[in-house]
Amino acid sequence: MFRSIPLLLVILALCINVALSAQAPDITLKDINNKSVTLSDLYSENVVLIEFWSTTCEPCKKQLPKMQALLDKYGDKGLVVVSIATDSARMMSKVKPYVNGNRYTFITLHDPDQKAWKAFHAPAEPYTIVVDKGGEVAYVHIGYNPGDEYEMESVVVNLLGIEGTWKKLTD
Amino acid sequence: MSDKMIIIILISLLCISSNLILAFGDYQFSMSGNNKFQYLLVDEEGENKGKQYISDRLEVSVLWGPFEVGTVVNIDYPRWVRFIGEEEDRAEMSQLYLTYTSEKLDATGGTIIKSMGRGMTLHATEDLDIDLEHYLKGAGVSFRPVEYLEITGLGGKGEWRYSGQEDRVIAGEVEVSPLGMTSTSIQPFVDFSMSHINIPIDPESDIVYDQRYILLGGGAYLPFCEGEFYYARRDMVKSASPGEPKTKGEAIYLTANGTISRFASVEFEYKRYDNYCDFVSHFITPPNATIFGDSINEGNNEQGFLIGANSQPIDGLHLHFAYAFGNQVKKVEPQIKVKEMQIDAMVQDIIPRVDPGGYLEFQDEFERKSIRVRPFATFFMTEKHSITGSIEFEKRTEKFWENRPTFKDQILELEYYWTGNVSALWRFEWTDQKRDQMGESIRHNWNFIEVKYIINPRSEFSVGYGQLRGGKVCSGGACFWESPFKGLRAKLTSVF
Repeated sequence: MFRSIPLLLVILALCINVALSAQAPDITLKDINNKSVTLSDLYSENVVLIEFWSTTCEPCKKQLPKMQALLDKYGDKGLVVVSIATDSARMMSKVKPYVNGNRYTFITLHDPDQKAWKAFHAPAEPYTIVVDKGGEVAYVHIGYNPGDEYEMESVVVNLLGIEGTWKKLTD
Repeated sequence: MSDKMIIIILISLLCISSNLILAFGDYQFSMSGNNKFQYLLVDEEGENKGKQYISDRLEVSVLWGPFEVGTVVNIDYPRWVRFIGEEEDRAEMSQLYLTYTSEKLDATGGTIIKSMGRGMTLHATEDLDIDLEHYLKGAGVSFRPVEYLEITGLGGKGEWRYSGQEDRVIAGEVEVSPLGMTSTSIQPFVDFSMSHINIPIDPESDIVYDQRYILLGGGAYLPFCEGEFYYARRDMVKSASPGEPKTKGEAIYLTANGTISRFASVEFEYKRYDNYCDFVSHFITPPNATIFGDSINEGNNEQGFLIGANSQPIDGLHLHFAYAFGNQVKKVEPQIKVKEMQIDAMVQDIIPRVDPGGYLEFQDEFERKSIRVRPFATFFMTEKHSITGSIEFEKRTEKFWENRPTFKDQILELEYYWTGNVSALWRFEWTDQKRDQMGESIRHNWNFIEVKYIINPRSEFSVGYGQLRGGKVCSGGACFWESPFKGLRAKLTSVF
């Protein structure tokens, strides 16, 4: 078995570079103001950045301000940011106070029954997806470490077709 | 399982590591999931050298217009079960479902994940964070004849992991949001739900718990505040023992949140459970967790409240405070009281090159007291290179242990991160606890270093050396429950 590991790694390296396009799922969820939001309505004319998070996930809480910064910078250029809170029905009352208290203005949806989590095949939190204007998944990222937002910004800038660099995010 | 078989499975799964979606006419075939393969190169105790840990989650579905048929397969050889602190093998098709989705009607047959009445009437869920499943297997329908009305009904069997029971459940819910179709910022709603849960303790001799839950709730969402109120009743129709009284119970749960001029938000929660839940059915009914988490006494006879506040007073400074208090509704000895407090602070993009933060937690529950402090900071060397350090101090007193010992635990973590390429984690954990709950001596320190190469956003390879105590470990920006470990390991993780 030990001798098989290098072989396995080589096969992995070859296999995972096969990129196949994936249409982003269409889901309808309620937002924190109890209004229904259908994701396909957002895909049609925008680049949509989606983050799965919960109020008990520490890396998620570090990423959310960066998502707000991206919205502040590119919102008028066609970027929509959607955060999907996966807190269960027993914990979801904590989502709105957290979002409002931190002055986040992106769309926040409740997913207590894991409809979106399942549809997007999310493996862990935080989970970030960028959907292009054609409704296809252009980028996914698992977890959040400081600096990941620059990679996400470069993807967003490319999809929006505008000039931009990560440095402007903190300007 | 033979090595050859394992390799075949891994290669088969890894070769499609890119969220495979194929379209054939009106049919769309989708396959996704994740693999973790871990190999123990060296084991300190020499018992497990060469041991392989395989964990695969495979999700396959076929879409045909409004129909979708899908399954989830979990393979773990072995997995570490947090609740029982042991490893177990698992190879099962954990979900199988057929769904129909349209604008007005959703129908599901097979595995159902659904909550009703804020989880007070029904709470069938899968918690991937702790890998715990409480599915319902049956059929369910949600009907939305108009935008402001949704009617849901379902029935089936619940196979709650680790409970060993096969509950029979019938449940329904009606939710009305009369202004849901308008753009008004005032959104009132009414929620009525009920469930009948039959729990066969011993089907052979007809020993069952048979319970009915009924809930009425409502509330309103306004621009700067919202409130929700739920009242619920439980009737025990049949108890497990012939002589056992058929108790009735009731529950009150309310929340109120407000936003203060975009400066801060405040939250309040109150709950009172009086015989509303009993031991055998707490998976699918209360406790309605707040800061209490799993709460005391399975939410059977308790009341409590929580107050909290969130604020970002200046850009980049995030503050959170919460305090909770609970006690028993009915006096029993010993009287159980719970007090908890949390304070969190996080600073981003204010201090050049450094983002500091931290939290303080205090808990006083029955015969257990603990206080935990964890400051952390990220230092940015360049835009893509950073080091995050944290040190956690915990002091806990567990009175029910012999001689009422007090323990001190410390965790030091340093993580270097090169965006999208490499991360390296050093974790040192220390305790002065001498013996575990069984009276057996335990290790006093755990030293672990892991280097992770990020192959691409979906795949990474890591090598770890040292010891892990077992628990929640955050590495590479995501947190996972790790099994106890000693030695040198290689790990390959892929999400597709």
